Order: sequence, then structure tokens, then C-alpha cells
Amino acid sequence: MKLEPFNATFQQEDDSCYAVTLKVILDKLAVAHNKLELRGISVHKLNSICGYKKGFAVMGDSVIGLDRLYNKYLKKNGYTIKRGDNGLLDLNNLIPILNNNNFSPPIVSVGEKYYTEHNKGYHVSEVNTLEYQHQLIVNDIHKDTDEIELFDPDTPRLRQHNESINKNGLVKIPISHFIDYWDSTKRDTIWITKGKEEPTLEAGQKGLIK
Amino acid sequence: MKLGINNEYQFESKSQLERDIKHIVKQRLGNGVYVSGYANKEQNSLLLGVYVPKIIDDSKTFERRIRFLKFDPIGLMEIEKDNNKLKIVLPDIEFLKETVANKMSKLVFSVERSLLEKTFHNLVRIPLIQSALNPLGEILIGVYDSYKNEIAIEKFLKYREESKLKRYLSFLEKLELIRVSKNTIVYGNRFDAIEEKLKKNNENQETIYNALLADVLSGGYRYVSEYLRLTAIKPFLRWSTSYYLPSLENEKLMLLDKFALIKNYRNLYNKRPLEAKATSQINHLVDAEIFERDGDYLRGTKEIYKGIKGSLLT
Repeated sequence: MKLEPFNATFQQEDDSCYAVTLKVILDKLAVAHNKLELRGISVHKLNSICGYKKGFAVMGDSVIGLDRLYNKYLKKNGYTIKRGDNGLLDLNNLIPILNNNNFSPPIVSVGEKYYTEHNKGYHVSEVNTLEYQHQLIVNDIHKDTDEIELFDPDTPRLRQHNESINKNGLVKIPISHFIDYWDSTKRDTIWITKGKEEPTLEAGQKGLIK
Repeated sequence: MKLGINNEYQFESKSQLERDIKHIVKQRLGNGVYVSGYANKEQNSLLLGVYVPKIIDDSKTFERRIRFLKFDPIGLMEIEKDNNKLKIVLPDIEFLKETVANKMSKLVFSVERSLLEKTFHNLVRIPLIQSALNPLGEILIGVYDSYKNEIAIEKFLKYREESKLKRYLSFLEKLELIRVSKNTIVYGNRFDAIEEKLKKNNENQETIYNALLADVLSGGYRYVSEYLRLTAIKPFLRWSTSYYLPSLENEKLMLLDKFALIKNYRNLYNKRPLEAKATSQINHLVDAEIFERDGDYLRGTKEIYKGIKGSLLT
């Protein structure tokens, strides 16, 4: 499903985008499917089950974090988690997710170029091996205008630098740019689906979208 | 390759291990964690490092910089032979986080130490620090006023408990600021040297007193803070670090407003300072010329920045 209309939650810490994007898609599912239990999962709880420690977002077991989310909250409500990375997905895989109301909007990881190219005044010191990652949620893909619309949980701070960013956190960027930013994280993507199949949490798993 | 959601991974060959391990490490230990190479010639263990991003905002220009602090090594993974296969057990992530947290604390501590060394002359001008150093100052003034004559220890007993006084005297003696005999004290070699140097420059008594206190701080900070429990100095050092550490990371003196400085303090020390207290302490640091004002913003001094530049090595 698409993200709009939705209740925006924004990150309070520099590095808490992961839990905040999960919160936004859980809230969206809660309203769309009338599953209020999903609304009760706070950012604080999500940070805790993902093992988040302030300033240490670059260290964490994403597989265990998602496994805990599934076992503690999603399984009993009839939901599962899907994850694709290692270059398995392309833009065409995102469209059926956005068009199916049983699927949450997808959370995508983007690399540091997203900051440097789209937000004036950002500088990233050069490192060879790391792509700084940020999590965004896809709201819509407009192939006709070659744009993708994304929710950015870091919006309040980004707006200080770039007022063209919408207050509700939605930003439109050219698809070709997005592919470039997404590529640098091996196209890491997470979404939640209605259904009782086993979750796919680790890298390299095929047959993600049925 | 996968053995389920646990910490063990099995590989068919060394080339498969070398191809897949980087991705596994990023997924299971974090996207900042990387394999930095083999730990030894035998190639039976791998070292891990981490890049920790620091987001640094300049309040006036809105310039944002993301800088990566590199900590390497932070852990090790043994490659075990299991029949014809290779097995790796991932290290405990909480242990890795603790290792990095320790390394970060050491970095903060090293910047605090360098700042103290470069700014003790400024710090002793802050009234709160002066009054915290008062017990030591009283002894030094007493010695100073005695014009190189011996002075009876008894004189100080009016104001201090005997056990405390003994501690202060032995501390100042260790710094060679005084010499203690059975019942009297007199100028120490170091006291002499400082006074001579300052008198040559026609410095007044207050400056000499501050120079002596600065000497106490520089020579015995650890003692002063730990044994004499001079906690008054701590917040001032922390505010200084909250400004200068991000500036070092940003490789230039930044312009920060009070709120940005409070945010830095909170991030570095995991404590929320009260705004009113923060304002007053920051004002003291401006008076002591550790910070300068530029309109609504604060900036460090070039001299201090240059002096502590080497302390950021991780």
C-alpha cells in the first residue's frame, strides 16, 4: 500500500531512523487494517527490540532485531516481515508492494549521497568501505515524471537546510538518483505483509514477492 | 551457508567465505562494522573494525558534516575447520559495543586532558574554580606573605581539620610548591621559579596567585579531582570538550549557539544540563577566554584549537 494518508513520526535522535520508519509503517497498517495492537508499539519499544543504543546505530544485528519484532508483535497479529537486499530487488519489485493493500509501504535504505546531493550544506568525510545509511519509506513511484516520492523521518532538521522539503516529510527525487542511493546499500528493503508465512530476514533469500 | 538465526556460519571454501563474510558482518553486526583483514599469517582469524558517524552541525552556516571515526580493531573472529568446511562464530555484539564505547570514552578523556593542559591558566580565573581551590590557595598565600620565612603549620589549623590539612600539605610538597618540616612550611623550589619568572614580567600579586593555582591544576589534576574531590572544574571541562571535540572532528572552529552546545554536551556525556546552569557556566568560559562571542554564537580560540589538535587520534 502507499503511505499517504499517514501519521508522520519524526526522529528525535541523529541516528534513530530505523525504529522511526518501522513505527510509521506499523501505524499505517494499524489504521488501514484496523489493528490497533500495532499502534501500541512505540519508537522506544522498537529501539529496544532492535538493540539501539544512542550514537551506535551503525552497530546492531538487523536480523535479530527483525526476528524479535516478528516473534513479539507481528506473528500473533497475523503479520510477517520480508526483506530483500544483496541486489535482489529492482524498482519494478516495489510497484506490486505499493499496489497491494496487504503489504505495508516498503522501507528502503539509501547511502550517504542522498544527504550530500539532496540537502544543501551537507558534507560527508570520505571513507572507503562504508556507506552511511539512512532509512526512507516509499510512498509512490511516478514513472511518467521519472520521480519517486519518499518519506524522510529526518525532515524537521533537513528543513533547516532546505525549505523545499515538505513539512509532512515527503520528498520527490528523480528515479535515477534514487537507484544510485539505493544501490549503495545493496538495495536493502523491508516491508511487512499480512499472512502467516515464515519471515525472510537474512541476505540472499529469493522468492520474496509472491 | 546459513545455519539459521544464530551466530554460526559455515562456508564451502575460503573464497566463498571471503566473498560473503563482509555482507554477513554488515547485516549481523551493523552497517558500520567491517572486516579489516586477517589477523595473522596463518589466516585463521579475521579482525573487525567499525566506522562510527558523527553528525556535526554549524549553527550559523547550517553546514552539516558527517564524519566517521574509525576504531580498529574492535574484535576478532576465529575461522574454524569443520570437516572440509570452514566455520565462523560471530562475536557478541554487546561486547563489541562496549569495546567501542570504551574507546570513545578514552577519546573524550584524552581531549579533556589536552584541554586542561592548554586552558588551566584560563580556568583558574573562574570564581567557582578559584573558591574550590581555596584551601590550597590559603596555604600558598600564607607562604607567599611570609616572604621566605618559615611559617607555623598551626596557623592553618584554625580553618582546617588536621587530617585534611596534612593531605593538602603533602600534595603541595609533592608539587614542590612548598617544603614541609616538622611544624613549619616554607617556599618550595617550584614556587620560587614561578614567582621569579612572573616578577621579571612585572606581574602583580593576583596574577602570581593565579599562576600558582594553575600550576596546582596542571601538575596534580588527577589528585585534585580524585582525592580533593574538586568537582567544580568538571562542568567547565565538559563544556569546553563539548565545543572543541566536534570542532576537531569538523577540522575547524565552528560557530555554535547555546542550544547546539547543550546538545553536544548531552550526546557526549549522556546528561541533560539545566539551561540556566548551562548559561551561567558558558558565560564564565567566555569571561575566561576559552570561548569567544560572535553575536549569538560561540566560537573557540585559535590558540586552544591548535594546542589540542593532536588529541583526536583514535
